[in-house]
Amino acid sequence: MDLDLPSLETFVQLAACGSFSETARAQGISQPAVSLRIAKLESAVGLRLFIRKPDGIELTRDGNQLVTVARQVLQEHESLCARMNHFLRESRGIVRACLDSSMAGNLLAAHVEDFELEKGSVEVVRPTSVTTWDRALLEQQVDFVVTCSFLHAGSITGLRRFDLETQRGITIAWNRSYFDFDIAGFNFPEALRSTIIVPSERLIPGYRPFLEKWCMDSYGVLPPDVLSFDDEEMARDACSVGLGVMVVPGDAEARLELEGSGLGVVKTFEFLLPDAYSYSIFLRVEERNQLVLRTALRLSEVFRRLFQTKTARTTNGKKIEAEDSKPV
Amino acid sequence: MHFEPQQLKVFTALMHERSVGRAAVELRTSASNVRRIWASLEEELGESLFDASERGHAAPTKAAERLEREITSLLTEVRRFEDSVRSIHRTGRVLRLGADRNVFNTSHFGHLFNTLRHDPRFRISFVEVSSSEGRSSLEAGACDLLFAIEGTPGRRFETRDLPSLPLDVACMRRPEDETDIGAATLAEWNWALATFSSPSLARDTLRKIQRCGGGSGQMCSQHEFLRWAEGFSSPISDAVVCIRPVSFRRLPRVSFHPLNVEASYPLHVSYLRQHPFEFLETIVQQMDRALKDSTHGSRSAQS
Repeated sequence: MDLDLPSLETFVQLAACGSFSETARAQGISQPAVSLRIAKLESAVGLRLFIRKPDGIELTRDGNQLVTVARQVLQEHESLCARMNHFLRESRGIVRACLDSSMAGNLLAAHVEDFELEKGSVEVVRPTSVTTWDRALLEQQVDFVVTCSFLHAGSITGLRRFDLETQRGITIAWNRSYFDFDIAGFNFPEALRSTIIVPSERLIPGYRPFLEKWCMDSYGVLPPDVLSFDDEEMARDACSVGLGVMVVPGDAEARLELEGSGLGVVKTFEFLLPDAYSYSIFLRVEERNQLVLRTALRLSEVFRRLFQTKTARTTNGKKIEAEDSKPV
Repeated sequence: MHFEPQQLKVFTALMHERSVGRAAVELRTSASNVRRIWASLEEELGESLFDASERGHAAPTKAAERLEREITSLLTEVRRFEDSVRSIHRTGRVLRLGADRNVFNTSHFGHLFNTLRHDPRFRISFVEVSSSEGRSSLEAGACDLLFAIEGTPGRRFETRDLPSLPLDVACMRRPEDETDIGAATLAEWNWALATFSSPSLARDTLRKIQRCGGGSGQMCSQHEFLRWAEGFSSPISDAVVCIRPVSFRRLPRVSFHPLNVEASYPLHVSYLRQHPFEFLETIVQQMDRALKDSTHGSRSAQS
């Protein structure tokens, strides 16, 4: 039996979506090529896998039985590739780091050569929509991850975490010409009467579910609409054009460089959420590769240096703080 | 990065045998083929896997040892896939026989089914396919073999003739000590020919019987014939020339007698040329032989 993986992939994809044209698009091949691959696989296994119906296709019973095994074959193949890539990186002295798309991550990505060791080189990848960063790390697709997290969302067995920085509370920012919130007597539920802009689950894991639960439990309402952003800079821009009220964890005024942008800024819940936001390096628990560990260490030094210059720049900005509007 | 099962098989054979020649023997392929696949695997990985010496001995590198360790779970899954295919083959694949309702209801078809049903390679299911949708159901894979009076034309199909369906005469009156009914007897009666499938083919057959001296007959549909035989009032009076149905609710006074005229309805079997079942051609031959034997047998019994 001559199996080939491309046919198997097409088979699994076609079984999942049930449309030749969609499969062709997903695989980047033409529609006849999809039929050809299926025909090839069918003749290799000597079974009919699909019945073509006028309104689409349907798996036969044999096809149904095989598709689960085929999926497993592909999964194993993928993880084999990840492990072999990991091995090759190790033997060639390459460290692959996943930097999140926050502004700090962007800044770090621009300073790769600062934390690159003499012996090795660093490859920077950004989070994709395909796999989440924790999965990518556990499956050895990357060697370490630098990301924000909220309330220990990334504390997973198998991962070690080193906080580069923690920040307390939640920052609320808005465009002053659209919303006339009273900064001195700011009332949090007021913000919930309009669209809010929040970082997405991919940018700050654990934050959005927390916020929704918090709003529901403490105020009994959800905001009418939630815009979530994968990119901090994009969120800030959306806020400054007045799409909504930005509600982000931590000391966002400094982090997002909000002063001078003319936005109204309030920091709140500092006592209820101490150290809720953290910016950390995640490593696999079993990581023994000295190169990876030392690169991560170097990165933390670079981060500290970059960040200290930044805060020095921004401390002269006026900080406005509001009372926690309501205890939980 | 991308590994093909074939590459991995060559790799495990090389790891096991430590020599290109022996690995080729083990895989029943040529040494150059093994070398080619080995090279493609190294290219994929971007790392050398074996240090080849002049005497054909291949010493695995560190990368090869790592690959061997990591590979096992994938090979298990590939083997599991092949095992489940093999187990489906063992329990018998489903062979769908498609035919018109009238074709199913003939002793010809029953005989055909009985020659196939002991084959361990497949289990048989029936699909009713009307003559107009035969082509599309073959293409769609709703049935694997299609039995029809008319063949299925098309480049994608293989169509074979099977021994044709013999005609019988159903009559209300039992003719005295006569088993066969010849053209002369038929000419005395007021008879009709049941169309069975397409009218054009039936018209030809009707003409053929008339040319043999069967007098003049009408045409009626299979449905009309069955209604007549089941005793409902219908315009047909004496006899109907038909393919004898295996089962229907007929009146006890209707009896069937073979028609002793050189006329019959043809039977064709069609299947997709690119069908995944590799045995279709052989079982079609087998069916053909079995049917030929049975028609010879019945003919010799008649004479």
